[in-house]
Amino acid sequence: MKAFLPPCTLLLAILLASIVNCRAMTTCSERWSQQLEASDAAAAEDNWDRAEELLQKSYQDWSSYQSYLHIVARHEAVDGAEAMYRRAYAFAEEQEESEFRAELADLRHQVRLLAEMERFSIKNVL
Amino acid sequence: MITAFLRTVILYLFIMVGLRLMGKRQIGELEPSELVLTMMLSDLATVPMQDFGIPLLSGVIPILTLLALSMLLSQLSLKSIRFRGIACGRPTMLINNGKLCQDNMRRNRFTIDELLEELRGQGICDIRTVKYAVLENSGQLSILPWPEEQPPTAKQLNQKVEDDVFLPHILINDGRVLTQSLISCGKDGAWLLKQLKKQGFSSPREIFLLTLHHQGEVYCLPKEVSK
Repeated sequence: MKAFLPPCTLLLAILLASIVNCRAMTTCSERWSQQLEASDAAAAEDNWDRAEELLQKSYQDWSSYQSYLHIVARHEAVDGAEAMYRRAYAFAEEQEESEFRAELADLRHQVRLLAEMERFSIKNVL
Repeated sequence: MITAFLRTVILYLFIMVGLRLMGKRQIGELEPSELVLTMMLSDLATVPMQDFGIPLLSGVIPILTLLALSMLLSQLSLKSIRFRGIACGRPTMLINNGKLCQDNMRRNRFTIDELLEELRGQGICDIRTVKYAVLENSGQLSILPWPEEQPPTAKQLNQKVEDDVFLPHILINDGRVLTQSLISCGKDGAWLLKQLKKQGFSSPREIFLLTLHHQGEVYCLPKEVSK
């Protein structure tokens, strides 16, 4: 039975790492979405200073996970979200509400997509 | 990550079942599990190598999963004969006691032309001279002719034969002295140097191959001087 231990341990370790990664991605994505929603709400109230501040906080949080995201997710998806953050910044500076809120909606979707790609679902597996 | 892991497990089992259903003829020299592993590993390794947009982990996770599955499969094959039969198949008799097993041939999609070709490949022109022909798991055909069609052995002729088949000890390999081999045949460095001097050499570095044979004979092949 000892001989079964290394392959079973390896398979179990990969499965556990996958589950941990899935949970971490979901938690992060939910947090970033909430931060972006708060920024969106501030912009809707015409409080641009607050909207920009919340967006910056969210971007800093997102940036601290860059290495991790590049290790586990497709680079294209991560780079896409990064570009959306930068565009949202530019719209916030110009105080262009419709473009800013549309960009945030896209960004929230992109961030959710990152977590969705790592989630265990029949849709993903098949 | 979980998608890569699960997809790898599914694809591995999928291809394994597929190849087992295809039968022995498509497999060639490799066992089914080895073939799956070779095919998938070579392909998996190249994807993250070529596409930098894909994280390396997407290639590493499936490869690790495949290796673990392969290890598990070989352990299971080692422990269970039934599982070994399912995973690797069982040798099939195509000729049993001189009788052609047509059912087995059909089951393995082995035509009579292919059988005759295999026999000719092994120097047999008359199918009647074959007692057993076994289609092995590797896809190779093992042929055993009737005893009267084989050269007689010393035992069959009741002859006593002196046992003169021994493996020589390799003592110097490409200028390097194999100390373990030297010790195992009860010799030492001083004896080796003496032998080298006898042959007109001063150092093992000048020798390409030096072997010691059963009756104490030494074969020495010097290194060629590069031009």
